Amino acid sequence: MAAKIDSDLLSREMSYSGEGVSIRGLEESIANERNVQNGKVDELKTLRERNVEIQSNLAEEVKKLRKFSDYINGTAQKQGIWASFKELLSYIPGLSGLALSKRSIEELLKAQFHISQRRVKDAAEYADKLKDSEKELYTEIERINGKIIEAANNEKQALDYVLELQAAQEALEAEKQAVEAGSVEAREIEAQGDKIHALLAEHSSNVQLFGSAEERYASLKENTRKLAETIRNLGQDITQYTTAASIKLDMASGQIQAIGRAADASVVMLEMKKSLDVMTESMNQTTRFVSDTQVFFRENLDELLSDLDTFDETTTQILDENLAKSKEIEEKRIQAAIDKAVKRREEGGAGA
Amino acid sequence: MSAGPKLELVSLNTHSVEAEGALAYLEKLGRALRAARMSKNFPDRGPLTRHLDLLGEGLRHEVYDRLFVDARTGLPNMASFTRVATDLEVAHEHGLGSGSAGKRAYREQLLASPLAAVEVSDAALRRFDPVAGASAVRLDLTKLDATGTIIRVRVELTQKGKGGRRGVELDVEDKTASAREDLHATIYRHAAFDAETLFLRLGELSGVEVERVERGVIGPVCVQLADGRRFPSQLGGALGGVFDDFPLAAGQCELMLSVQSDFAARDLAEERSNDPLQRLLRERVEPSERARYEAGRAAHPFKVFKDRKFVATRALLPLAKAVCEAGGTRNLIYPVR
Repeated sequence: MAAKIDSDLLSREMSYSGEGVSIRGLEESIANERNVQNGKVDELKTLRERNVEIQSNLAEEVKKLRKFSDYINGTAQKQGIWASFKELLSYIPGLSGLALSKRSIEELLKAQFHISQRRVKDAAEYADKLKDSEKELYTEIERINGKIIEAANNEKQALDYVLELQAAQEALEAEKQAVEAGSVEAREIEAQGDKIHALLAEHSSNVQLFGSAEERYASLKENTRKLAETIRNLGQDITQYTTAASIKLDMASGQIQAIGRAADASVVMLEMKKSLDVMTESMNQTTRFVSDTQVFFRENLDELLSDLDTFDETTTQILDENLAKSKEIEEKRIQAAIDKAVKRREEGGAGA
Repeated sequence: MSAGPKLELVSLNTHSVEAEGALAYLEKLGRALRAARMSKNFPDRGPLTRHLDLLGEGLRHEVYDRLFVDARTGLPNMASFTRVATDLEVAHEHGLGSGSAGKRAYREQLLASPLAAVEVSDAALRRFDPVAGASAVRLDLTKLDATGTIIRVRVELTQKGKGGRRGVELDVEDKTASAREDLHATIYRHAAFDAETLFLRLGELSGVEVERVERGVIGPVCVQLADGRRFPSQLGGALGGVFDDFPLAAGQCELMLSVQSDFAARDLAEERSNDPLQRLLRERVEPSERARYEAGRAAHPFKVFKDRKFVATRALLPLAKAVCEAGGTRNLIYPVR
């Protein structure tokens, strides 16, 4: 008497979506995702260096403007007017060591305005790059979400199959009780039982793989989200303040011109100070927030990096240990998969 | 058909015009500059109209939402012109870059063709007489002046020997010349003054004989935006408030641009002003300065000629004609097509 097992059950080709069901395939897939993330972190490091450069340039601009303001304010005249004014002019590009009368103040201030506006635009460009990075990271999160759903679907498929195999195994056990031990029928039942056991081993392993993949992708997604949110906050802050600085500069241009004209005529010193302060303030705003950004990067990006490394090592280690012990715990794993499948079915039934 | 409200100031000498009104204004101003038929005595039209076009592109692609205009002259102000220049620098460094599609489209326009600076200075060696050790030189400066106008100053002078601190640096072998910084600064500082003021000032330099000073000034321009708001600028002021009350229908941008020529030269036949808005300096010099002025004129024989052209949209052509009639001058008036 042949065992009453659906022949389709034992010969069924399970088609999982995605990269297949090997550990190697899964590792490669996750490694690819990690590479994308590492690339993004490297890009952020570059952006951080650029940030340092912009900060340094802005600080230099503020220093020059402050010198102008101090001069006009009268606080920088202890060495006498000419000495102070020469020192002041030495802060303007190309003017170091030149005599006072050689250049038009209007022309100098115009050049300074140009440089200041350029610095603010450099900072704005940096903010746009951050926005770009953020966008790419959210695209990456979408991709990882796809992987997570794929892994979850595959796990469910594997679990359903494991349940079917377990039911078949139980049926065979009952059948085996009814036949004579050592008979042909008993041997056939045993043969089918072995096949079922092999399939259980294979697909319970798949259950674990897909479950692991789902969890690891979820962790990757979490880290990617952290990076994206960090970048979004930075980008928004810098955009906000470069916009403010840009508006201040636009508003100050009339005063800058008036100062240049007045200074060339050596008059209207009060107006000069007033507008220089406006210009200094706008540069200060940008500098302050680019500087804050720098601190934020140092404190958070390095920490994020460190977290990512820890996560990677830990999960790899766990997977290695699992592989080494896989033989020993095969039965346990099968049982765990069955338990999980039963539980899910029960939950599904209760929820229905 | 009544006078519209004036545009408010947002900062010292600064109007802020929203994108829609600014685009129509920039387009009309560009056409006015093309219609003005300016000679080589005026700032090069090409770089100016390209700057105006690019300011428009920045607004059209929503990179900027407003344009800043100099309230005294009705022309885009220093921040606006600098905006184009710095945007171009950033575009050269970062390419199309990241950010909005509008920003990238704007940068494509910026990078599409070369953009010459508005503010330029140059010097040319016209003649060199080795026997007399005399060099005839032409100095040329275009600047966005602190008055808000765009001015070109051309000075022709002869320098004997190497010239002083405020002289011209010559390289006879290479046939090149450049104004020493002091000389450059003197011209730069005096660009907004009458040509004869600069002639007199340069005439004081030792070893230098000034032959001709030419100034070409673009602006001011008085404008009514399509929504009826006006910025009369100093041109409106010079017209004694006539522009304020001049009836104009709303619906499209109307403007009247003036461009002034101002010469002080030894070879001029007569001294007169054909500028309905500016008399000769000798007629308006302060009594306290008259003696010094007369002494300067006596030391440097030259004559002065001033002229002004107008370019106006059709609705403002009658105003331009009326201004010339009131000033008793015969001036060229071009319509903006």
